[in-house]
Amino acid sequence: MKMRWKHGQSGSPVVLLGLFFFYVLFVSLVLFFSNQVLQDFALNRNITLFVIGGLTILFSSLLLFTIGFQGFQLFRAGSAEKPGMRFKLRLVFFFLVIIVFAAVPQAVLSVNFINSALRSVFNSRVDSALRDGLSVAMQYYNEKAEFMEQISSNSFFSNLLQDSDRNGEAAWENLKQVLPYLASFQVFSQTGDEVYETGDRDFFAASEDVLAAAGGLLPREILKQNINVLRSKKEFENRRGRFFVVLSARLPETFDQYAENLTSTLETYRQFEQYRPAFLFVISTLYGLFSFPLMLLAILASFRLSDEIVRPLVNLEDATRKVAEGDFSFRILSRSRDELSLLADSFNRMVMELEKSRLKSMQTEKVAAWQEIAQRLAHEIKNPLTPIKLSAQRILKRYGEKTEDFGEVLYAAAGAIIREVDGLDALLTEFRNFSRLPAPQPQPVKLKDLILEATAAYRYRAENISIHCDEVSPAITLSLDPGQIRQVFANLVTNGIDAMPRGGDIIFRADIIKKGNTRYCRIQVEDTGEGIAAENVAQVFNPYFTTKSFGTGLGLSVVERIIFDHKGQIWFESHPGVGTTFFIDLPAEKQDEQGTGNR
Amino acid sequence: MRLPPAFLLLCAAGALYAQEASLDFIQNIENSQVSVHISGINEAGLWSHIVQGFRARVQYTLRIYQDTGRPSFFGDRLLLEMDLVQEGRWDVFGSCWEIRHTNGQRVFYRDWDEFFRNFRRLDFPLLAFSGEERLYMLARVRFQTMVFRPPLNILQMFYSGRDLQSAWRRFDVP
Repeated sequence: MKMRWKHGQSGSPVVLLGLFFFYVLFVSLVLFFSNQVLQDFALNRNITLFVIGGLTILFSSLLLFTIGFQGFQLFRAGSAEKPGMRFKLRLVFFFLVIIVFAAVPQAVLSVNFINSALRSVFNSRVDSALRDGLSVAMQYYNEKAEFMEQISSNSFFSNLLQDSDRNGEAAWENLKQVLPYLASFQVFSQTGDEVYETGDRDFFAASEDVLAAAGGLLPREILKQNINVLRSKKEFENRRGRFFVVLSARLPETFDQYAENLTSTLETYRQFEQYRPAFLFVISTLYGLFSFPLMLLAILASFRLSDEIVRPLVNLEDATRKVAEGDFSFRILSRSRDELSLLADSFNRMVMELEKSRLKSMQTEKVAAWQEIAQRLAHEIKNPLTPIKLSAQRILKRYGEKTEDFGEVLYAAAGAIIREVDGLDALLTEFRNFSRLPAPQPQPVKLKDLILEATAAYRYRAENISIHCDEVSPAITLSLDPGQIRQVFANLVTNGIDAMPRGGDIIFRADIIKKGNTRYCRIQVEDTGEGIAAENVAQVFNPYFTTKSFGTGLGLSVVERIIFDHKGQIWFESHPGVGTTFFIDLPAEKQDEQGTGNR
Repeated sequence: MRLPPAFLLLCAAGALYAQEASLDFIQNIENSQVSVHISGINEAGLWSHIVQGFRARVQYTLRIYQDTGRPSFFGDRLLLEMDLVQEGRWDVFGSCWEIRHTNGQRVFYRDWDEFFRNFRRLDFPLLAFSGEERLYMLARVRFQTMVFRPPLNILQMFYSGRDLQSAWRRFDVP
């Protein structure tokens, strides 16, 4: 017998690997994005962000479409009641619940955590600290600036600088005593020509920069290496003309750095204060944007994983059904080493043992059946032998006595011998026909027409017997051997008539039913006769079993054989005194019901 | 102030496109330089924004090409491409307006008009290309009212609807 193997598990990890690849790709994309947004990116990087956002949306759409398609397929398979689909649907639902239960609290917690963290960083104490720090820095700066500003307004400095165009050195020395942090001292004529300069040259101001400026404190300057310079311009006039003095003072090098840190942080704080709802909204949106595809990936994976779990079970169920239908050549192939694989192995062993047992049983049954047939055949042959022998002995006796009526006796005895021999001949012919029943030649046949044909001869011959076919749809067409099935109906009707010596009804019914994935036409032949006695029920289909004084006892055996050859089933229900109903299930295709199809 | 999500969504949708700004070139033959001017900035809005302690940014993207005379499909020769950024803000210490340039230079202005004039202008020297012929400059400018600081810079793309951006403009170098 040729074995048929069915894979117990898919074994192909390509889809799962593909999903994992997309998972890694997407997580990398998200990490890249998050690194980007934490930097102070330039404007032209916005395009990168839009590309990432677009890819995310595209990816999500693709996943949504795939999940929708998978869901639709699952729904369709569930509607068609395909094996395992309900279980798969339940598994997908469970996975979905787990995913949602895991994702939703995580999302809420994450956003809440971000919000809390930001609130803890940007709180009123930080604001106060920043403002206080800024006040201190400004106070320090203003002190220096005020000193420089006083140079232009204070009469003391006016007197000190009055003669500086001629005696700059003395003025510089005096100023240094009052303002020790002065870095340079320059005297310019009204036209911008430099008259005198001293101090650190790095702090000298260009004449064109200060010429147009008004007197007093000039805007601060940042020199190289973030050195802050405060300059003050003071104009004076003496006999030699109009002049102006530029004094430069340096602030500590760290001042600008600290000031910059303070102002930037304060700026961040103010922005956060103003845009916190928007920021949280954007963070939540982006979190959702990036979490959603990952959730979709998980859902898609759940479809695949459900499939992996359900497939071996479906295969096992399929194999079990096949075995139940009598196909013992079915085996399940499993490559994994898990419990399902052990189950498949057990199943295969069980089928193997069942097959051995069945073959053995069939052999025993076959021998027993032949023994019974031989016994019955011997009995049936032996019965007529006695009258034949008696007739022959009677002929010999009368012939020896030389009686006058020898001719009459001879005629009667010879007639009896011929009758018995004819009976034997009929018996052997029927036996030969039973053993040589040809294979059925199926063709599309209208069931009702066939029943009417098979029962036509009995409608008028049997008195007080009514045959009803009203409950057989004329639309039912089956693929069967009309000659053989006609014989089946004829035998059943004959049995029914024999069981109703005082008359009665024989009723035919037919319905389309479904057993597993196979459709059958169930035909019922009911009589209102005496029924079958309980002790005979088990022997009804045995060859040469009959309760009648006439007949060979092969009728129902032939019926069973024909139905078996048509891959059908036959059984009966009988109630003594009420009647007997024979049930016949014959395979039917879907279109047969509508009367259009054939095999 | 709590902004409703629907409003934010509208902002996000509108943020994809910045408003149109115009760009002008003024050539100064004496010192061989060209000034690129951006116009269309809301001056009062910028002033109130900066005095609150925020900073604004103008980004100039300049490309100098040499016309090769071939069809444009093959492209002209790109000699120089640069992004120059100017950030404007209020200096609380010196009580003056400050412009920070890409090279780190910081310039302070007492007068708002002077600050505003310089903030929306970029002087670009052309002396380096004096020997070349058939040169032209393509320039584009983008003005950001608000420069968000990290981690709020993620809002930049959602608020770029308030920004100004010009199309590419061509200036033939004489």
